Amino acid sequence: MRIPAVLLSRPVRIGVPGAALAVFLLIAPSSFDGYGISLMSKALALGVLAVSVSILAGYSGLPTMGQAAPFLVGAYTAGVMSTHGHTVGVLQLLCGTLVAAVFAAATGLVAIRTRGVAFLMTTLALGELTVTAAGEWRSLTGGTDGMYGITAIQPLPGMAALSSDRSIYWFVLTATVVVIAVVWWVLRSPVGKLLLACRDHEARMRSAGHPVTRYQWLAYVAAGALAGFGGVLMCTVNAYVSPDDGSFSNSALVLLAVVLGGAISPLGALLGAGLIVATQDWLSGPFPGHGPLLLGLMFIVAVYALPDGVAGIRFRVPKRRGGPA
Amino acid sequence: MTDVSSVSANVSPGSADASSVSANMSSVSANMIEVSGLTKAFSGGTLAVGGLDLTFEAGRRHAVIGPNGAGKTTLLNLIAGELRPTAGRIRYNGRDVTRTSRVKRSRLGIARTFQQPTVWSTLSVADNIALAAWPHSKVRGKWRRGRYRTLSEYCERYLETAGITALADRPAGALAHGERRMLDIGMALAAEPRVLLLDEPAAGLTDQGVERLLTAMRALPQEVTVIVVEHDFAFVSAVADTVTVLQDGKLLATGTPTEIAADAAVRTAYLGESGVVPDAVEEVV
Ligand SMILES: Nc1ncnc2c1ncn2[C@@H]1O[C@H](COP(=O)(O)OP(=O)(O)O)[C@@H](O)[C@H]1O
Ligand SMILES: [Mg+2]
Repeated sequence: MRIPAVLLSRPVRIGVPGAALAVFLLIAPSSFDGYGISLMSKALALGVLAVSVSILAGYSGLPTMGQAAPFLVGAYTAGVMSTHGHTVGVLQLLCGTLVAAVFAAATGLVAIRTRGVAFLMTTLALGELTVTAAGEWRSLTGGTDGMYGITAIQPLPGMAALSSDRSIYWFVLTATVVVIAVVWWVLRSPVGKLLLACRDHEARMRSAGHPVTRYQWLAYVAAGALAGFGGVLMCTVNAYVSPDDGSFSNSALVLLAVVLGGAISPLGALLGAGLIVATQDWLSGPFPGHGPLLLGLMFIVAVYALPDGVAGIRFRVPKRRGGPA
Repeated sequence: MTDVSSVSANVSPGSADASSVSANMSSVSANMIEVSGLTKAFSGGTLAVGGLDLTFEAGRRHAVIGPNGAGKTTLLNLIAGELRPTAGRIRYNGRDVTRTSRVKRSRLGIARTFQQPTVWSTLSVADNIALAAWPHSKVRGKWRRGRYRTLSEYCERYLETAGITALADRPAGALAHGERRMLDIGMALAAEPRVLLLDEPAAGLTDQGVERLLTAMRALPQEVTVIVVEHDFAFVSAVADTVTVLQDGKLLATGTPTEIAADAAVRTAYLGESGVVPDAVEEVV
């Protein structure tokens, strides 16, 4: 596909979709009903998860199938806090992020030792184990029935509880914008260069003296923390947590979102997540029961027709050159 | 022979562990790299390196030559820690590094270039150099933008040495082969190594590129130990003071470039491969 150079320049590539997304996020709620608004909130929470996947799959060259696990950990942390009367939103976000980071630090020790398909499989297994554990640990999680009775949160201590879909949306949007801004800022710093270099040519990084495994573990922990943040938001939106939130299909969906959005673009990952929620919930009206089929078709189309993703940022990892002969 | 005490005094300011270096140097022989019984057999059954005993003295310019498949690249890979030997030991500066990872060896001061120049293709040329210098630089907190800029400014000298200043902002993946070769060399220099391993650095370079490479190699601090694998005997005699000839993973001969050029066994080894190289050897005699 030939694209004019102007359209690929940085301001256009990021500015146009960014501005469009901002306008949509600010204006759309006023014309949507409660259901539509809560779908948007859900898309944002899933979008945070998608960004965490893009940090690993896009930036670090670690295609993960298990990011729904720290997402689940974050969501349960928020759920447990709510049912125990800790309903301050910011505090839930902090704790959910922290617990998910600890979880990722531990699972990362196993996952980071593997590469490629083995990494995919290991993260998949870790994800499924987490889902199973959540289903079994009834006293904490309510088992496979899920966790009910999660009360509305107050964003900050002393503020009123968020009672409407609309107010929850604004809270989720604010939190998402803040966390994505932080991610953006970090990825555009020398830290992002380190990750990209590891992805470009890991062996060369080691030869140059970089402790690649440590970098990737740290990226894994950071991505886990971010997924946990998204999980807390999901709990806030749904007022319900169940093991399904961490299911394989959720992980796969989010990887799809990242592929659709362009793997190294946080913005693209958000857009991809939006697209997925839209497809899943709106297109299943005219095509009832065919949601997964539609998503599968989208995946195939995305990989073949849009290697650069929706946001026009390269998805396919550049071909490796050289290596010790 | 370099005076050992001057080595510790001259360790570059960017070197990661100058203090441990000077501590080691006082007690150590002049052999910077020493391999004994070094053997590498690949799983296919190829014996790429078969029981080599070699020493590379500190502060000298060593060349390793030999026909294709002689095991030259494998030897560099073993010294750099890219490969684990099947048998034998490797000592670096008096210390056994046979089981030391390549990351650690790099941090101890062994840098290398690759026969196929190897760079980080999505990053700019300047970033490639800065990231290559990163683990060896004393600048603290390089993950911060300001500090990274300090590092990048310091690294401009390596862009200059490699003659790629004009390409600084290009993505490394967009470079031509010769440019990528010079970048690979610049990256190795940016590590401010004590041992520099160069795998066919002149291959694919223009005459101007070769000139620049020669200048860069002559400008290296005297205490740096260089091991260069190269086919072009004219280049070898221009830079090296000792030449080691490998054939089928075994040591065939070692000596000064003039001695090697006159060696009958070496001529036979090269003649066995092609008629081109002996001409180059003859020119030197
Ligand atoms: N990774 C590898 N796996 C199997 N055989 C290899 C590998 N690398 C090199 N060899 C073999 O080892 C021998 C020496 O190779 P190499 O060290 O690259 O030679 P040189 O650099 O002197 O041309 C060759 O026969 C080559 O085919
Ligand atoms: Mg070779």
